[in-house]
Amino acid sequence: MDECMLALADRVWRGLGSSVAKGCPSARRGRCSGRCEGACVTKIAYACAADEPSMPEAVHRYVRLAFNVGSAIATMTTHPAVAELDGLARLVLGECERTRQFARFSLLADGSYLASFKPKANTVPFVAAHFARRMGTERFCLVDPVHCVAALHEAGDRRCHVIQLDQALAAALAARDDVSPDERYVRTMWKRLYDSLALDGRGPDERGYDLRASWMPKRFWDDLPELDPRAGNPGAYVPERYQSA
Amino acid sequence: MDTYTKLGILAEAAKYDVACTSSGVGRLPQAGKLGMASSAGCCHSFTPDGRCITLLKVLLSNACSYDCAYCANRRSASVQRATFTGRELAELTVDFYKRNYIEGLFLSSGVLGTPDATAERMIECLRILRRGLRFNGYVHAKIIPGTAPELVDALGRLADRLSVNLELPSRSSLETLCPDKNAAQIARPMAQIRDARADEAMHLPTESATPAERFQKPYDGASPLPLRTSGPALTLRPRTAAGPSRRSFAPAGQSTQLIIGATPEDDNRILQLSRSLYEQFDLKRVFFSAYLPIMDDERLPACDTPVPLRREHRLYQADWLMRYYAFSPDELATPDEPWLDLEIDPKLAWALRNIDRFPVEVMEASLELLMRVPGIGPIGARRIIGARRAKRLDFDDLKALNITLKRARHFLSCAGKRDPASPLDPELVRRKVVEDARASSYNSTRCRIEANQPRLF
Repeated sequence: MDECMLALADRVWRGLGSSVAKGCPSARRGRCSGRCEGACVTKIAYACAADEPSMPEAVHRYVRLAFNVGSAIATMTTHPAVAELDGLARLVLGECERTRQFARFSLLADGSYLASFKPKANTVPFVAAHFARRMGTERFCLVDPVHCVAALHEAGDRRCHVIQLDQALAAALAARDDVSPDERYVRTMWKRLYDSLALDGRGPDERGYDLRASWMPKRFWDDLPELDPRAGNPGAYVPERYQSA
Repeated sequence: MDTYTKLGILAEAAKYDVACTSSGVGRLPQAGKLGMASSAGCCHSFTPDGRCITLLKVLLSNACSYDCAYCANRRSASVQRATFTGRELAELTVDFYKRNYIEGLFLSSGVLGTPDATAERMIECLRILRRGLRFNGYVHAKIIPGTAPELVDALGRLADRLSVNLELPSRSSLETLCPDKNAAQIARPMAQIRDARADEAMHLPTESATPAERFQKPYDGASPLPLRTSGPALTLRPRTAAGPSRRSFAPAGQSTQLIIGATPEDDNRILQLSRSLYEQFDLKRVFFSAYLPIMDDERLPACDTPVPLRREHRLYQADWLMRYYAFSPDELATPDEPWLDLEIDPKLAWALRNIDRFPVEVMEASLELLMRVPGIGPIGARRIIGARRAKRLDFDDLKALNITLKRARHFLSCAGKRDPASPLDPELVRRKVVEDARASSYNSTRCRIEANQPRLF
């Protein structure tokens, strides 16, 4: 995106923030904040990450309405423009949670970690901070080859750098397979744990519906090592720390 | 035996423990340490039967010296035995954590000789994990009844959540099935954990509430709802002023689990018991585990008894209603009708028994009353309260608020108007819900199995 557009978008964003803060009981120093985490404006950012073709128009309608009515937008939750934007934001929030749940990292030969994840919305910019907190001591990269976005983290840093990649680079990064020799054994152990936890008498046939598929959508299954039949054999190499008698 | 082989044996041995949550404590990252804890927890995978996997749940050892009738690891069972070293299990936790497989460790164990000897091994493992490998993620430790108080204390300072399994819903059932355990022995560590947490809270400054907590009642609807709300912030139970983040002893509190369907206690008794546990021991959760008939023992239901999955599900729903909606056990399963309805959920069953309290007026009802309407939850009720400040709501508005109207429609009036197509007729509502459930999610096999099953327990 060129710089002029960025500057313009930033101006609209800031203008909107002060516009909806006027007269809002939870505003601080003329800005959205505090009690509601500035939900009236931050939810626009979430909605913008949705892949839905209706997204740009929906955001446009909401932004126009917000400039018109100011802080009253907070209570207009039944207005079609607000309900539509809320729907998009909820969708993206759900996909962010799935990214936190189901992204799987692999240890590469150089000692860093890599995860490739294909969400239905552009979630990486929102979840990067979560992974930076979780894996602060590690050098890692979380790449989304669908939206061509990556979060890069250096060991010890407090946050990630989020960058836009071109398609070829994103695909190449996601396809890296120079994993550490330990990786196979650890993945196999994870699959072993997963397989051992299954209980008889409680499956989809007994329950009447597939609870697993509703919690863990099938579109992620291909990238989960616990469901990968290739992770069934630990191979001959056992990392030293796991060789105990 | 290498770690892979041990893991197979010891995960298999731990799978009957249903509790697997990583929630209850938010902890920021610390420089040089790996990991953090988020108060809502995070489910990283789901077993084929749909249970969440959030922690590395294994036994430290399954070489148990106790002989509980229902347990696969009991002394007299012929299973392969294995024991992890503390270092091995700690390394495994860190390896899984870094790959985003888990949020932390759920450490439990069979009784290796004595409860104290077992606790010492668990402490050794957690010390390596916390101090040696500088792990700052979530740890749940299981306390074996009979463990010395100073060892319980040491475990509480290394773990986030402690749990003591109640195992069975009554003293007499416990005596019959677990000859090595007794009720007093189980209550002792539970009381110790409660007291240690209460003592610590007295010395902690009151924490300023997070946005999600401020959103707790009384909610006036004046400010918009935050985008994300955490479940614990929505409970109507009284909470202590000292939040979990400054605590050093079991910051995520304690929980327990009991097996249902192995012994004849009814649902009313189980719900009464869990309420008294919440009150008496300040528990965070009571987990119910549907009995899996794996043992051939005359004291237990026969091996071909189906697992009471639906009952377990209804008990969890009832438990949620008690914790989040301020229902009392007697409202859900009365002493006269002590079993929960298996066909419809307990909230709908309550509403149909109390049909004279409806319809509820959307424009005027209090938060508590809105939450009693089938189909409206803590978030939906708050959305209604926020939206009705701005305009007179009709059924289309409720739809725009994402309220599940399928059931709620029958029980609501909007500014005096009812939906003529959804009368307040208990028989009709019940029939519709049961038919919907059959048509959508419950397949015919299940219905056939259940139709042929007399309910023994």
